[in-house]
Amino acid sequence: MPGAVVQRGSVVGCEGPAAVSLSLALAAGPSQQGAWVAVAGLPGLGLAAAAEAGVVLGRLVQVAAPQGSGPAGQQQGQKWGDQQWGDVLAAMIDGFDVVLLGPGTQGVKPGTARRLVARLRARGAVAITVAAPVFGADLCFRAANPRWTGLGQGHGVAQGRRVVVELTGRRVPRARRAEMWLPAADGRMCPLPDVVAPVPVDHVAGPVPLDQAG
Amino acid sequence: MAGVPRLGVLWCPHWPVVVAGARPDEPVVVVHANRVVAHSLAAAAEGVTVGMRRRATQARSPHVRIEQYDPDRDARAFDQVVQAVAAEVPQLELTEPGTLTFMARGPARYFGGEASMSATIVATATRAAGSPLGAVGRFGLGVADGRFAAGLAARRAAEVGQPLVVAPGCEATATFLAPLPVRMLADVGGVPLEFVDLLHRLGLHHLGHLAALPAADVSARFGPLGAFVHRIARGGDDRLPDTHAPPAGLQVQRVFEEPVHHSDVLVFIARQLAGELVASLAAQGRVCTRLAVLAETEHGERSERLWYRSTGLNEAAMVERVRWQLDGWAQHESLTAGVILLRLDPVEVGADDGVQLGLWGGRTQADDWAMRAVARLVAIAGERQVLVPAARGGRQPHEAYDWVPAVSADLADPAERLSPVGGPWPGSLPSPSPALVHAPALPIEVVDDRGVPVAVSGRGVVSAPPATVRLGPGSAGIHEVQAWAGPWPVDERWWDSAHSRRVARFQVLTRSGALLLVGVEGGCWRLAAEYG
Repeated sequence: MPGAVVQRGSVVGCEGPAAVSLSLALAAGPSQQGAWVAVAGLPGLGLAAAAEAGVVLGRLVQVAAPQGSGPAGQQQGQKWGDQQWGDVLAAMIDGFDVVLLGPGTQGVKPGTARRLVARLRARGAVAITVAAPVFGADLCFRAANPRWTGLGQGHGVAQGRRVVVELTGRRVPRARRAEMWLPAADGRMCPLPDVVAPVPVDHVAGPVPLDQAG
Repeated sequence: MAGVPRLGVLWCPHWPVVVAGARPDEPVVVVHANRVVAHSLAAAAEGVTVGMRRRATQARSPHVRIEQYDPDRDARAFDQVVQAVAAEVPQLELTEPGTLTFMARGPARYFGGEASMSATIVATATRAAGSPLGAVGRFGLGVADGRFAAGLAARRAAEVGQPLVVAPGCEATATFLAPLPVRMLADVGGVPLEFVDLLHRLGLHHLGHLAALPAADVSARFGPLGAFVHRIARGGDDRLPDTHAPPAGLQVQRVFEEPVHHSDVLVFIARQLAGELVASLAAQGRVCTRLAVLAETEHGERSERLWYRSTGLNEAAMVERVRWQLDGWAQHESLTAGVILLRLDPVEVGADDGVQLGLWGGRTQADDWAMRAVARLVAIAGERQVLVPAARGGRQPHEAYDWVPAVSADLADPAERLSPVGGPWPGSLPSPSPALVHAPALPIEVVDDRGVPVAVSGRGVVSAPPATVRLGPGSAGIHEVQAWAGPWPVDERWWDSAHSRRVARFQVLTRSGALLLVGVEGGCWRLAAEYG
């Protein structure tokens, strides 16, 4: 579902508690079709989770700032400033079709961010941001109402999480919502059968087109 | 043989190494996608060959200097040579940085003989290339009938240090070609390597052996490709079969109302034009082998080049060459006005039979761009900052995969790097895996409803159900536990007292809906990962 919505040359923002999982699910679509994915500013990205979401690890590259600390790190001697991040992100946009930007890139100034987004649009790449609002977002995905299944009080194991994914953005006239498994038991993101519309009994739940949900 | 043009080929062996700048006895290699593309003489002396992997190269030659493949830089540097030679000969054709082809008939008459023409052109080129050339390389110029023979003559000339002129005519060309190895068909002639290997395995090591066979037998055994190769070996017409001038009207051009000054915009337009051209050719089952690129400014300054590639130019290759041409043009001539015209004209097209797109075939445009971007990122950010995943094996979430420097990995062939490592890893967590991994794990506190830290006994019995998790300072860091599961004890390397680890892991779901993977080891609680 999300892969069909994302257009080349756009910035997609993921916010909320399941932002990282959402971004992986969004990147998985293009990655399966041969696109290379570059990640920056997201140290600690779970590679097993990425692989389960469908991102092809053979086409994944990460650029890690030295002393790779999180977004609000102290001023360390080698940490990258706006200039360095600008150069690195520009090179990433030029070479990769999908660029995943995490909170670690927040050191970029708004002017630089605007230039990078312009470069992105010219190049036709896609930026998926995770908690990095400085780049703006043409589309914004937010997951709400997370409910994990499978855990009890001292027993069981987490099997999956149901969320309501909300899609907003400039080109989306009214916010759209759909309930999804994110992740399902095998790690992928897949839609729940649509409860609102009547569904025939023998219908196998396939991907729900976004305009029919919510 | 009538119709075979007399061509001169100017060739500098291992041009990327020359551009990288090397001292005479310094082993230098240029690497692309982890394989050697060009090497210096000193490196060759230590056993480095083209196509060798980076690590093998370092094993052969520990002090070798490794440079990344940068075709843009190579093209810019070669453009100086092209400009200089273009002043001497009317029409040039470029294939890639380091090689230059021209029609020899006119200039030979102008310079009074092919020998003096060759000497003049080599001198011009050497002068234009400047000092780095003299140290590590030299130009070879070969003149012969046809592209293949001229290319081979250029290689021989580079070895010897003297321009080599092969006499015109079939027999003379055949005599020249006879002692040369069959592998040259692949290196210079654009013949697929598998076919050349087949010839080699059948005992045909030299072109002379191949030429000695009867034509009918060769054609019967190997088909049209064999017939073509046989014809070449006998000194015949080496133009690829089924190449011809396309019907008129296929050229694409864009005229700008406002003169354009930025090369980025021009490259963007070139990409669109190239896309249109490739699409219209592909619709006829053709691919462009020779492309004329023309750019003209408002004041009439022109840049016109012919680009040739035997395997055909795809969209990315066309855009790359336009960019090289524009870069070189802007660099060497101070342009007084913006560009108003950009034209791509397919001068020669061939049949599109799905030939390999690149030297190591099977890769896509996206792969090429990504690898070049990796090289550029390594240059900007450093070798240790650009990382790719590799399977490591382990039962903790941060252990199954690891990040390794991209420069030490074979980006074109990730299968080995990512194949699952080791056995079943009992005790590993089932999927779904956490999206955010903390390595090293962050210290936290987990307490029960009386505020006492939760402990796990040696037998895996929890002292009390966890009620609260404190992740950070202040009241915002306190999270109530809604559900939990565990303990899942892991007793690693119990036989090794120095390295043994006993960890009990839990999944904890907070009331705010966040799922955490925590573990207690030696009484200390740590946050290993978050399912975010």
